[in-house]
Amino acid sequence: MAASEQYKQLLEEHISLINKGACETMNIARGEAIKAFLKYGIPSQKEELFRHIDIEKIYSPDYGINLARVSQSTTNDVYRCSVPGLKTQTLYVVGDTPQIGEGQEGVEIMNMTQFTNRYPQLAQKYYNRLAETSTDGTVALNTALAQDATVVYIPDGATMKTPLQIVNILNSSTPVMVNRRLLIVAGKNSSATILTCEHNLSESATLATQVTEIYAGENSQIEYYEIEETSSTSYRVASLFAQQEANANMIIAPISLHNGQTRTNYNVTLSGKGANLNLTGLAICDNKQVADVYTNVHHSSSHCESNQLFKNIVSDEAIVSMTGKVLVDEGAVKTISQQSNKNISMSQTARIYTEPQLEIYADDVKCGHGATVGQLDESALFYLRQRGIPEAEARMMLMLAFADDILQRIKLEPLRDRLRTLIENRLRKEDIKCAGCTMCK
Amino acid sequence: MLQVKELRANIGDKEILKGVNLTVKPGEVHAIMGPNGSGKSTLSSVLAGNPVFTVTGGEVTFCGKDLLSLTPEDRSHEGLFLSFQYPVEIPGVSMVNFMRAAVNEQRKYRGEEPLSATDFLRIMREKREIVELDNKLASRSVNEGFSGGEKKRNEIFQMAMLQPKLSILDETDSGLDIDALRVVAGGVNKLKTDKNATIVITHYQRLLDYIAPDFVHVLYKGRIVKSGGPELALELEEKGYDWIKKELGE
Repeated sequence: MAASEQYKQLLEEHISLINKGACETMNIARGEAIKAFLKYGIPSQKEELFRHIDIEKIYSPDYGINLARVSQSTTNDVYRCSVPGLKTQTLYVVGDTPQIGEGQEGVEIMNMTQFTNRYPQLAQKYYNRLAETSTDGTVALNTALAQDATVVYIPDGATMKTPLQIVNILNSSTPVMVNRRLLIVAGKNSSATILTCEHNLSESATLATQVTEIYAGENSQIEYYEIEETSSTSYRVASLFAQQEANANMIIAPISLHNGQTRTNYNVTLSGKGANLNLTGLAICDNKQVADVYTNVHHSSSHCESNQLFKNIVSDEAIVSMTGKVLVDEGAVKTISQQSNKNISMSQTARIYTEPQLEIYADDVKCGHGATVGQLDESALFYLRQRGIPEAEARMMLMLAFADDILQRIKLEPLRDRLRTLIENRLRKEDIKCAGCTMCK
Repeated sequence: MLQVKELRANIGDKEILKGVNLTVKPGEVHAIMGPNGSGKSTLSSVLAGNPVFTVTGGEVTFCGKDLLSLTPEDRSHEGLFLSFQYPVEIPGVSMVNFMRAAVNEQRKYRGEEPLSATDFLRIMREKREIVELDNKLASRSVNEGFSGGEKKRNEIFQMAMLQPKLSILDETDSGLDIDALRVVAGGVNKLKTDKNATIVITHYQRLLDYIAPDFVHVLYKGRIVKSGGPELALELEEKGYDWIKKELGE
């Protein structure tokens, strides 16, 4: 309750300052979002979908928020984040301000003001239309506080030739909260590859909230990767909402290498015939890290296919949780939906929660789900050791093997190779600084 | 090379090996036969150091070292190889990475430099031919989706790569058709020298038509109750195990 009160008070006192720092499109949405937030507030741990993570505690600290939009620009010399062998166009989001640079041929990368000025109708049509502000207080609060957004617009038939790498950076010596928005509008027959890297250099506790909306037009091809590489004092609450029109293909792949406490929601609606979704995630958690994932895949059209695979490797006192809902509407015949959650626990004190929720209202569908929780295969371990591979190395091989089918689903080859190395370094508890990166400590 | 004295071992509270004695010298082939449940596979697992079993008594010397005090990986480095009855499928670990790690760990143990990629691949190719193992299998995950015959050939391929002093073949013939058996046995024979030794664990005499033993032992109820030359295997094939039980007064 206390957490909610503090934000209600903040909104009441500073609404004019918030509005002043944002464009009209966002302010219109803000009005509705505030109403929703006043009604729902921050979800408590008593609520069914938030049992395994204490969201109220995450929102409780007295964070500073840059409502006055004090410039936090930075230069590429200080922050570099690169994947060897992968040429990307990099966009830095410092705090919650996108540092818009140049676009690329056929694709526009804008902040919300630019989007509203250039395409007022599109801004109206797409901003905050997928995001469910009416049911989730955290999404409502993000919408109520967000003052800028990164907008990626890929018009009909356009191809993003160079993958876009969005680097989210937080660097604060005092407790701070940032509220980010990302809007991706992909037209008919378009294609795009977007990689988001989440970094945090802050010395204090921080809360990063994000709402991402992805509209995937007919026959579009979207790959969206998220790499989380933050710190033990990083809190993150992020919700992604996506809609896929007919024959749209989408890969959504969040990989969490290091974090503090994270709650991520992936809400995807397959609304056009023949749409295909590949939702794949991996989290490696140790110490007291928490990674809580909620997926909600809604088949509202026929002949669509969704494939979910989430894997976790947990040790120490870490907690991971996956709740996966699949909803198949009455008319969504010939749906194929597969959901799988596999976990390896390396310690007695780690906790793993897994909960599939299938609601199927159509006949003639193929839907499956499965979950496993276990340790490394002892017979495989002995087999490797018998061939002379030392126990620690054999364990490492088996853990990497466990992560391998997640990597196989990452189509962007240089990223896949890079992640393989990062995952191995992470499991070896070595430095997991990305190559060429001067920002991670 | 190998001296096993009064070896006893348990799984849980159950005693499986009840005092096994066995001596193997370089250049020899020993066959260990016996009815189901007599402890044949347990003996091979215990010698390889499978942590599922607990050694409760006896001693094992291997090339002058106390085998039982070594980790499974060091037993391997010292030259002990176990061809598994049921080779484990390990999805996500490629055969190439697995073998490179195994070979280079062995080299490291001996104070040798790791093999270059070119040398390693050349050796892989040469050894694959010994058991006619398809290149496609070598590029897949360890044993994943291999047929029974392919798994056993893969075991002998690994044996060829690691060049052990002592190979224990645990029921290598099980699940093999006659052609596969010929290939596998042929591989074992090609690897045979007067410096290494082989223990063949088998239920049937059939495999011994291909891999000729110098000595045949019968393991029964956790003990070696009878030893002899190759003729003992033929006698067992003809009469079964009942006459041995009778001899033991059962």
